[in-house]
Amino acid sequence: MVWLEIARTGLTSMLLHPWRSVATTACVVAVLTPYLVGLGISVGLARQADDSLRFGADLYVTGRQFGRGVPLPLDAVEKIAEIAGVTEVVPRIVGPMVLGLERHSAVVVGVSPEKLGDVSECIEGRLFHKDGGNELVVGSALAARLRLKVGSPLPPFYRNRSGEHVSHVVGIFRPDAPLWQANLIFTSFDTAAALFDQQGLATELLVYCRAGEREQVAGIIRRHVEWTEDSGSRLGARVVGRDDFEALWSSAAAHRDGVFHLHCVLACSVAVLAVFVTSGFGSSERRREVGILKAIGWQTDEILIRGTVESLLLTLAGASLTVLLVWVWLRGFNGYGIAGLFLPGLDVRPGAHVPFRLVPVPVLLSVLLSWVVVNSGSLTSTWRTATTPPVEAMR
Amino acid sequence: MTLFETCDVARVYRRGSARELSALAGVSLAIEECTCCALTGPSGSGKSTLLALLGAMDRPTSGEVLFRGESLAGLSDVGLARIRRRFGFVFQGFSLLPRLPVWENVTYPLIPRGVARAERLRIAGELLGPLELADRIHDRAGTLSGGEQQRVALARALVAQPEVVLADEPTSQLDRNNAERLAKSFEELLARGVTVVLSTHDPRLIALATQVLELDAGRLKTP
Repeated sequence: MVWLEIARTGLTSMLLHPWRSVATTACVVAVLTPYLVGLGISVGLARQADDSLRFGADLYVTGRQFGRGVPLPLDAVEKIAEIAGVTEVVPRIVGPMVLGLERHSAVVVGVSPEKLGDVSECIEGRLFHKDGGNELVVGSALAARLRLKVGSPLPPFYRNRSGEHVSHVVGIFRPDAPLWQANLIFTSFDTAAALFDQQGLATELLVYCRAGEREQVAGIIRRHVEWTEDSGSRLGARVVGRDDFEALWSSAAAHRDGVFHLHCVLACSVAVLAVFVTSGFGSSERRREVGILKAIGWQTDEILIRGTVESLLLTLAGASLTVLLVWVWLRGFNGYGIAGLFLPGLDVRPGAHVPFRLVPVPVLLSVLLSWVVVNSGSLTSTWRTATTPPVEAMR
Repeated sequence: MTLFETCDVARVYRRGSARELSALAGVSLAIEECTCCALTGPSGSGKSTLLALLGAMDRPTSGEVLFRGESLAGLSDVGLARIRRRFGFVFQGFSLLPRLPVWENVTYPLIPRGVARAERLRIAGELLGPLELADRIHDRAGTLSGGEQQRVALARALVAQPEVVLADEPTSQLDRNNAERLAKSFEELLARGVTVVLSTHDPRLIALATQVLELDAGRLKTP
């Protein structure tokens, strides 16, 4: 009961010094917001990557030359399809290109439309025809940047040996579709082959296997699948499994999170100094207040509890405000102005849905960091005042 | 029974620095229970310093202060705080918490004693009624006049039913009417058997005193 009453005065104290409370909370929010946004986006991306991997192929096969990945001849499709345990082999072309006068970067994916699964649900318009030339489905961010609509022509989309080609946008990904589509252009395999002027080649083969036979199939491809090029040089197969992608993604995500943590530690150090300064706001008044409390019979530990409760409330206020702000910013405003800092390729106003997820660990971590920031800034001054004789503190 | 006793007490501020100031030197006195002791003397003579030492709000540089025969020198911070809970203080500048409501100011000493909020509000009402402040109970202390603030300070000093009330120049910032009203309150306290120690120049308060001690340049003047 006594402690509850003393704790209640901590709340009173916080309300009695509104400017100090606001300045301290602002410091906490300023430090933690970019941190939580970064981690939230990182976790959101990880979830989407997990989904992509789960619904993707079992193996991704490319050619191997000088230890590097190179395109494969299309006759590899049949060779690999004959391997026991393989259920399907899908050739795909993936290549970067630059569009428009402002040279916007995009990635072209040429693949059979049947292999895109239920992606049509995320598209405004329709999917391209399998053999319909020069039909494109464009990612939402890219379409917004190039001001493309369904039916827009893209003149001249590419030139090759047979001349210039005009393409048409037949579909655009909806802005709420997963982020991976943002800067992609989907088209048929043949259109992509013509676009890059590389007939008879695929940049990779997507191999689907029977359950439990993935490793075995991967081993056979690595050991036995090879081609001899016209020049006589031999081309091997490089196989990357779903597990390899998962491991690669995990390490990339961990690296990204590590960078966020490091930045947050640095920002916290600055915030501690800032809180140290803001705790100086009205410090003589607070000092006098503590002196009065001591004079009327409060003990040092009771004053410290009061100060601790005040800090705790400021911590919770700062952390809660941060979580709320981050949630509103990412959910309500789709990370306007901030998502682009963490996701290169996105504009100030992202043209695609920014994935994010606020999971308990970063949120709790931000509460802890908030507590560290508030306390390290104000603990010394509270302690010093609380242990001063009242007559001196009141002076 | 002797309530306070000081033995050769001295208090030096900023000791060892060029601005060293000796506020008290060699003060020895005794104050009896249920009496009124007035500390008088010119400004800077050490009245407030002596009052702070008697009130366990400061420690002497040398010498000893005893309360009911117990030396305060050996007491820890907590021990001194517990002694202070037996006192009621009325400070020269009122020393209220200006942003807090009047009733909170009055009952803040009760919080560490575990008195619940509703009970504190009731006690404040009881104390402030006779002081004609019942209608200002929820106002912020900073919005009150000097006289009203002094009455709130007195109510705060009395809220925990202290054995002793220590008052530092309690009428110095009051007009005549308020000063007279305060003197009357002290008279009532004395009638209830509360010991009062005050530093003052006010003849109305000096007139209440059973013991008048005059200080000059930090030393007690011998009668």
